[in-house]
Amino acid sequence: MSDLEEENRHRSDWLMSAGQGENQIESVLNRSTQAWKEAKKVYDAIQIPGELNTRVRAAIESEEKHRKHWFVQLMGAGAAVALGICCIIFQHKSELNTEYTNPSKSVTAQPESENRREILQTFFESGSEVESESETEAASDQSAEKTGEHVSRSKKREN
Amino acid sequence: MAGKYYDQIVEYILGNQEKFYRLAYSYIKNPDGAMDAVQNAICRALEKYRTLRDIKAVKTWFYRILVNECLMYLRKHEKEIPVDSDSWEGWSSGVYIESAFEPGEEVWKKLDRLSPEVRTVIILYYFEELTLKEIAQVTQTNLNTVKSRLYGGLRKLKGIIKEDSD
Repeated sequence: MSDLEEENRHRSDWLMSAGQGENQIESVLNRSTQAWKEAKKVYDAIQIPGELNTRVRAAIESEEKHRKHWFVQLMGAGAAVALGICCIIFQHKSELNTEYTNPSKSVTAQPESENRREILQTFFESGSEVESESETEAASDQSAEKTGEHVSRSKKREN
Repeated sequence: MAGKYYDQIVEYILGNQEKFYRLAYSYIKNPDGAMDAVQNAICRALEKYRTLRDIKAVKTWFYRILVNECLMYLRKHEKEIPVDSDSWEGWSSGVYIESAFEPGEEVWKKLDRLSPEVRTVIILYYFEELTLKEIAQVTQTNLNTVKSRLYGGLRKLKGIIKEDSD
């Protein structure tokens, strides 16, 4: 039995049971009575305001706008995420290239401060050597001068 | 694929908006409130249109959203005192207009004295002509609950009519 048939049977059962009461009120409640028909008429006669159509349209349009806006936002967010991923990949790739072309920048490379210390150390070391060299030169000059003086004095004595 | 029914849902909404308004009005009894509820229901439906698995169920799916919106509206505004615009105009102009006796309207007004859950079942069954199974889907309740609410509601309505006629 289809739903509609079952429903009709159910309704006719109800009408039968309502009619059995032989009561005026029972018949008022009966769907087929004038009262229900009148009630239905009242229901159907409810005035539909002209504004309803515009409101329905507005509701649909605003929802469509909202959907489009949401779609645009989603696209924007997607593009931003894609751009971010590209940036990260690019940065990572450039770091890899630097490591490949400049091994001193590798993880095992000495820290900069250590390098500097070494450079300074070498500088000072070389600087002290230079200083000592110049000191010896000066000392030899002085001794030469002294020997010169000594030579000239001994010559004078000889004379 | 879910979400392919957007155009069909829009078409269904545009084609049945007056029905939705009537249903909302039967709850809220206020033109602006009913329009707000319909508008909110449409927005909610279009937000969640992807959840609709089968287009055949669009009717029960949308009615469920609308009924929920109406109940939410009532819950939100239950502390406010509703003012009937017609009677207000009558009082303000110094003329009191006695409304004519309408048998249909009488039954209609008596429906307001039922609880929202029971009223929902009666309106959907008798005025929107939904089946009990569909009402169960709309109200997200058991079929037997729907049946008991319908019969209980009719019994209560019978009592109200009897009370008023005595």
